[in-house]
Amino acid sequence: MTLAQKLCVAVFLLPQLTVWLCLAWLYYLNPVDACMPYVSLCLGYWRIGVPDPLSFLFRAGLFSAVVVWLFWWYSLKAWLLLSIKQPTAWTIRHILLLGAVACSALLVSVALLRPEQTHILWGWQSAAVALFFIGMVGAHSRVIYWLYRKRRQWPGELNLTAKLRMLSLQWLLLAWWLVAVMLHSPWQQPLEWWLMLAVSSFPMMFWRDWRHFRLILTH
Amino acid sequence: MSNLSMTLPQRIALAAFFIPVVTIGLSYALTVAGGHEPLCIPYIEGCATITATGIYYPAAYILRAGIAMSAVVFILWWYCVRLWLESVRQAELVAWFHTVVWVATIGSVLIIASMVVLGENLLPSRDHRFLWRFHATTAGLFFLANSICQIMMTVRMRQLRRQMNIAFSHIVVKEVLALLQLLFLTVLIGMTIVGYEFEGMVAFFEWWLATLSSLFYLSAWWDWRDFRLTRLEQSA
Repeated sequence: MTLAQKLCVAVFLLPQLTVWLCLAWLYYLNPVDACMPYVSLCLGYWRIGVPDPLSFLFRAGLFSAVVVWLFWWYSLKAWLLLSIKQPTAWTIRHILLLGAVACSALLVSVALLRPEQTHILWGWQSAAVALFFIGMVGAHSRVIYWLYRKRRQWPGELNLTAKLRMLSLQWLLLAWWLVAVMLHSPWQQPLEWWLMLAVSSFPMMFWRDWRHFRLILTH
Repeated sequence: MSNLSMTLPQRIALAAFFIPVVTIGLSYALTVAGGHEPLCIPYIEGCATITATGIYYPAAYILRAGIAMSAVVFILWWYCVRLWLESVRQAELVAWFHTVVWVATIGSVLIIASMVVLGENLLPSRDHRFLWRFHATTAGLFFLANSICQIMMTVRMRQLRRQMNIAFSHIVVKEVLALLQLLFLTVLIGMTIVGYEFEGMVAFFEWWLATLSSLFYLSAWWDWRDFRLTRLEQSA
């Protein structure tokens, strides 16, 4: 597996494994609270990062995920510039900037969580979460749009169908989530879980495309 | 390609220096502004530990996030070191490079573990002895693993100096930084073992160790001017 492919896997696995381990830990500590947050209205994604000791694991996993995600965006930039002989630097910088802003928003949203629930700046935290989701889906859309426009000039095989489906799913979930947030609906809780899963799955869509992409010279 | 004038490894070296230094400085400033620690020069007076700057909010938000992110950058820095040293293509050294990078990676994971437990949840300290011990042990092991790996790297760089065309002054700077770390660490461990303590001892050594370690990461910036990770950078 190349380094670029490892980054794809890490971006998917780090946030997912972190929350799944947190969930398992929570159920071990409080078996009564056991539920499946993807299908029930029992637990919000960010709520799992509030109580200690779960918050320790949550912070460690998601802070690490932010840095790995940033490097994934850097790899994507390198791949886009490598694949097209006439790089449109502005477009690619703009994609990278949007991805970096979204990652920073994720960092803020995790950093603001603390065990004293009454002291959490929920307004800021929610704004950071919204910026993260909107920024990520926006950046993904920009990438797909750019790839779609360049598909005829593309040097190798480029599978856009799966990426387009994933992007459509992300937009659907994002729209649904935003409506749920505005209506203060409890459905925003399971939607957060699905949205996070969809957003972190997007880099995995490049796993196959990057099998011949070497980020490291010595490979 | 003006944006590629600095290589990716050089950017990692800069990030490995600036993220922790700015994070610690900012969280210390916020802690002082909040009236939790005195305004002083911790390098001389040992008046405040780095840990103390990550206890009270909002400084704790910054210290936890900043140092956890720095640790991932450290891992990437060590990954670059491995590739850079492996470029001499000496098969018998590969296992050695891998071991050093693994130890350094484990050290970086330990500092993440050490930082994520910080916050007002550690107060009062007498009620959270386990977490305090966990924090102190993991942070201590990080400094130990990190300084050993940095010393090992310096030794190997000296051996490979001719093959890799490394400037002598670059190695001397690294040696000084690594030896100072080892000296501070040995004195700290020795004093702890014999039970000799002076006021602000831990704070004094902690600030120096963190700074020396960060400077060591930065020192690679000069070595990695011609070291390219991506093919694109090579062609640029």
